[in-house]
Amino acid sequence: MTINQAPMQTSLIVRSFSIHEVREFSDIESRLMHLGFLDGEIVKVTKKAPLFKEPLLVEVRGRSVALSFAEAELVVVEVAK
Amino acid sequence: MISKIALVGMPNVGKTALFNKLTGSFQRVANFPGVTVEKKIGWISENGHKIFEVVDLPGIYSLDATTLDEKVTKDFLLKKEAEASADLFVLVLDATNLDKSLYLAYQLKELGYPLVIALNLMDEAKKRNFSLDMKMFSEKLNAVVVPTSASTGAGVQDLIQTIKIVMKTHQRVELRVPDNAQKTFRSPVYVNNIFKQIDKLLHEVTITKLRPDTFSERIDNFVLHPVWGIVILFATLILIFQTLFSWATPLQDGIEYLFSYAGQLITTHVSNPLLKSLLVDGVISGVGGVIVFLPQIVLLFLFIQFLEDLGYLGRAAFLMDSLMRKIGLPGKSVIPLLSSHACAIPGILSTRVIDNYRERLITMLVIPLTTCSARLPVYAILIGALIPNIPVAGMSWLKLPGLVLFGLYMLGFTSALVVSLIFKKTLPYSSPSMLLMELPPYRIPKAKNLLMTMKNKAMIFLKKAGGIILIVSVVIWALVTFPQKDGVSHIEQSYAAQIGHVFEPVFRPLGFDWRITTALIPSIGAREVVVSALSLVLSIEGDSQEHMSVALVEQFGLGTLVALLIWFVFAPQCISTFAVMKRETDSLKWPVIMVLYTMTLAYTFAFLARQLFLIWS
Repeated sequence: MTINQAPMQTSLIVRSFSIHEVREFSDIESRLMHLGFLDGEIVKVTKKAPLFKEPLLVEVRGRSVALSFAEAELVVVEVAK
Repeated sequence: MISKIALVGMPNVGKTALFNKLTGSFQRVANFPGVTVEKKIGWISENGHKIFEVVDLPGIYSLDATTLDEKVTKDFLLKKEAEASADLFVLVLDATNLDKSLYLAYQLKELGYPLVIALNLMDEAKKRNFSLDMKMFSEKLNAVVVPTSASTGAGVQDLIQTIKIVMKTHQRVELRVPDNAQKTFRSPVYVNNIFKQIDKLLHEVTITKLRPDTFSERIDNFVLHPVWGIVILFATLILIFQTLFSWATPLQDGIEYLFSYAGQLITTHVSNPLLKSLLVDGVISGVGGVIVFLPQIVLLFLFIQFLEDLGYLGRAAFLMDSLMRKIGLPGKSVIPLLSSHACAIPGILSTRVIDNYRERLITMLVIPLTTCSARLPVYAILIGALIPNIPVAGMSWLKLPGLVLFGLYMLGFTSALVVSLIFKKTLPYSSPSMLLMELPPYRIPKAKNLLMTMKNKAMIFLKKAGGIILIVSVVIWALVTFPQKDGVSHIEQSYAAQIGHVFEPVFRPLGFDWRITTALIPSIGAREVVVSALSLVLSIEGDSQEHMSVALVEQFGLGTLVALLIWFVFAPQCISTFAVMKRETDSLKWPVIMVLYTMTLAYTFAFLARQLFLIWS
């Protein structure tokens, strides 16, 4: 699932941007990586904006990062066991 | 030759505050060549002598730039002859967010930059129980590290001394910029590798760990709350609106009073009538017309910088983003669009909060459609002439003129939204629209920084826009004054009237005759002037509103007045807006496009409105 579909306040493991991936990355993908959304990182959705339930606020590497719907759709996650 | 230092670091690390502390009052603001990104240059001085030149580069997270601001910094850093752009780089790190700010440190270190590191916000980090092995930290990063607190000024002198020492001893080295830099910098393996090094370094040098920022978290529970968050946001927006609309007025009245006083002085002391008229009606009203915008500009930027320093601007963008995106604009455009209801000039200047250039441009282009306060006197006269003052649907508190005024506001705002969608579809794509940002911790804004921003914005406006506005004011004065007959000016025989006659056929479908087209010429300077210009052409004695309204209906008829009203909803902005737009886009192309499209809309809708009115009546 992508992170916008994931349950809130739950530890999630990122499953996109593996170090084996070799291709051209878009600006948004690059920004996501630099914020810490890399394969294996543990993240958590902490808040959703009112009205449209987006953007999301995600905790990653100890920081709060705001993701719009289009950005969240690029981050694949699974619930951490 | 004076040695150059470049300040680099991510946004929100107190880099600009440090720059202010380093350079004191020795600084100036310019733009980077070709782009409207602010370039701050200052000088470190010792005993009154400038010893180093400092440039404050826009904040950057990494060398993989995506926004215009970041690209400017990246280009500055990655120039092969980077040695020429700066002799030494001072990298500012955020001690409360080392994990993130070290990313750039590793990139710069790897490429071989001569670095001095300012470990800023160390006082705040200490309060949160953070301590580290400074010596090891410095060794591992292969650079001198100086703890600083830009807000109190602690460590700034140490930093200057360190810069002096390093500048004397450091060796110039060839930078190792990879050939395919962009592709390397954004590959997961490269990013992951730097994260691994950061984790390792922090593990080794940390003595006691940083306590999480529970304060910001608790505040966010309110500020981003589904109900309270919206209440706080709207309260903030209303406060800004109120300030620009009402609280700036006494200051503006004061400025106007000063200028009219200066005008009186000239009237009594200058005897030559032509010189008197040039000074009073040309220069004084021209200069006054520029300076009268200052209170709004300064107050708006006080607000914006306050909210930015506080950490709220990002939260406001978070709350508004999905709603604003429905109309094709980012969350941050809410502040410029709102401010422009008071005046388009602060509105356009404040679009700098929008990171994406294309979205910034679209916002600037549609701002003229929102109803600025200069249109109110025009609306008041025309509504007075057209609309009977009767209650709506039997409700005594709601009168028809008020409802029509509200309708005009909505017409302006709605057309701004529609036009923004059209531009969104047609303007060429430049860089992706992103929200993607880290919410910074809350911090108390520093008065000195706020004052510095206000001063800089005021200077930019006065210097860059002031010149054009003054020149045009004098030209317009000349058009309505000459040719004179027996030393007296008659507007109906002026060059303005001659131009008005030339354009009369073009505007006849709208019902405008030469008197209206003539009155429209001085309104290029400031829109509300159309009222006094009309009374001049119609030779109306006294300036009571009822008088004026009656005369307008008698002279032009209702259909033409409807067309004139609609014309002013869309009509091209005043010359000040044009000048600011030219300065902010650094081109003539966009202000010309703005004038052409607003003129087309104004003409079309004024024509349609008149035809509909004539059919209906």
